[in-house]
Amino acid sequence: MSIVETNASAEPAGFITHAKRVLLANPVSLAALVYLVALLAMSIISIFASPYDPLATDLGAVYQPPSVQHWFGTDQVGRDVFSRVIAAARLDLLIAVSSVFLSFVVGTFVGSSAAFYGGVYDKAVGRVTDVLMTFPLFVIAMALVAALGNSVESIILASGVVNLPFFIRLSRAEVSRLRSLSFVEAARAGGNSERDILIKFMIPNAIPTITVQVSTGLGWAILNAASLSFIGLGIRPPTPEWGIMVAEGAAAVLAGNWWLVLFPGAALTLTVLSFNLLGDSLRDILDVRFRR
Amino acid sequence: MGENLLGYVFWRIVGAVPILLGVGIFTFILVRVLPGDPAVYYVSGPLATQEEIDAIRKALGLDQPLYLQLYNYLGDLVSGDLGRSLTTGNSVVSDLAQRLPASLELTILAMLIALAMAVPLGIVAAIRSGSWIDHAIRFLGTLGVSMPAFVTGVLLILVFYFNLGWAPDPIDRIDPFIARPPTVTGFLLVDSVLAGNWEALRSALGRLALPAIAMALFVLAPIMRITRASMMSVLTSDFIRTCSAAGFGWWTTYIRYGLRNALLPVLTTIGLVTSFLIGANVVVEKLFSWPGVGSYALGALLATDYAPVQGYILLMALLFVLINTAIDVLNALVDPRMRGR
Repeated sequence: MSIVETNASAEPAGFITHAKRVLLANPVSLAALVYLVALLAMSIISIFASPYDPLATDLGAVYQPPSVQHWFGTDQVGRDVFSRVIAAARLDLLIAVSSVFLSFVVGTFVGSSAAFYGGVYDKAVGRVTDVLMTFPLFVIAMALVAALGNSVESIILASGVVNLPFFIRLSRAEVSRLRSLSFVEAARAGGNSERDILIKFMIPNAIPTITVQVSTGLGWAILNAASLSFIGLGIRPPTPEWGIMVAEGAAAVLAGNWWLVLFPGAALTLTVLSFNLLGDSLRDILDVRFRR
Repeated sequence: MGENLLGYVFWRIVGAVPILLGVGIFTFILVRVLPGDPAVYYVSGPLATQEEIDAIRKALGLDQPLYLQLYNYLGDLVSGDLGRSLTTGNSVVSDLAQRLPASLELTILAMLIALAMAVPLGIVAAIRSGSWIDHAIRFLGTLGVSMPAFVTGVLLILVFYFNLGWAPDPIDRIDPFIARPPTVTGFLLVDSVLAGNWEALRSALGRLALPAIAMALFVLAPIMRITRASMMSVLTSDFIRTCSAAGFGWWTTYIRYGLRNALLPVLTTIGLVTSFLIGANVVVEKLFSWPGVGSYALGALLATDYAPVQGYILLMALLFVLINTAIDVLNALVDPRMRGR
């Protein structure tokens, strides 16, 4: 505590310096960032150069344990597990980013406008969000994918819905804090319409705080998308996806072919874990109250 | 004061009605959006004439305006009519009632395991806050919540079934060669004890262990986080300082006075944890071929048989509302300050 007080008079550090300091003080988060960047890089490179075609079957080489030729082994039809894990990363990251973008935009708009205009609309949004936050949203996501059909788009939408209440609540809390600040009065005195104040002053100022939720949201979205695919909804085989790969490998585990579930399962867990760890650090980096 | 509490309970239950109504409307819309015309399903063959379809349509009330359909639908729900499953041929209510104990047994056991692990870990993390033990415990919590229940489940099968050979086949609730105890409650553990069938009890416990642990690990983190945070705020309060100053032992200080005051927020998270568990339940039931409501609804969903899906969603919403109401009432009983909210 005393460190904060002695440094209170010092210049506030710049964003990059501050981010560097938080990450270096926290080697676990740094490792998470390195892992995610490496995964992203590999998944992009694999578009142009993959060790094997992730869909190419080779019935002469089924259930091969990990080796120099096949780093992660081969599956029941001889496909290279390593190439599939990397190709799946591309799809899962794409789903996560699109769905979080969706819930970010919709959540920010709904939450901010509710807090800004207040009244019955705000009360209704607040109450519905409170209920949805603790509601078994996975069940709703299942129903949505079933209703919208098995496609990447419906998985994105369903994963977006899972994250939506958290973005609404965060932006609502932030805007109701901002709206009582004096710069809003200044903007109003300057002749801005209420809608302009919301769009030009409230939302841009709320966005840094809302961003804190992005990393954790990405983790949730991936978890959700993989779970949906695991139970047979959404993305269909033979498309490489981590949840499907674990589902297909589950039967092989009974015969001891561990590599079919360990590698996709580990890639999935590490990715979600990295997003969660990074989310904790992001809170420290972006939260002005901690900046010193 | 008693009247006050009753009033609170009454308004809490009234407040839950809009949630159930909302879910009812959601399922109503869902069934109309889901691919396939319900009328076509009721007609015997694919060569049904338009007149036949129209007749069924009329019989099912699908020719009425939408608001009347919704009204009739909600009326059916209130009277406990959830329709009929096309795959099993039974009414959805009896199908769900038959399978619910299997899911509840699994979910309750998972919840108990999670509490038994998370609360002590949270207390230790709070007492040693800032130390490496605290960091390690929190990292394990984050790892648990990052690991989907199906990945944990598959890895548990790999280690305990294939490698060590300790766990039984990961299929169904009990060994098929062991005589099942007569069904009284539907909970195999309870029924085995009632019948004095210890062999069945051991087999059922063995089959429950892996799926329950897989689900428990997934919800460890939220309970642990709340226990830690709540314990930390209690530990810095004056009465704990007084306890320490008076020279009480750690049991009296941390558990008897500390934990008792820290448990209320933990109770509140059980609502959130329940909804985590309901989601994990579907996935785990699918992995372990568990004959519960989750795998029933999933099977129906994949077979485009929608009445069970709709019944399942409503049942989960009802459970969710019941548990949250019970928690709020418990809170109000324990802490009179909560009643004002």
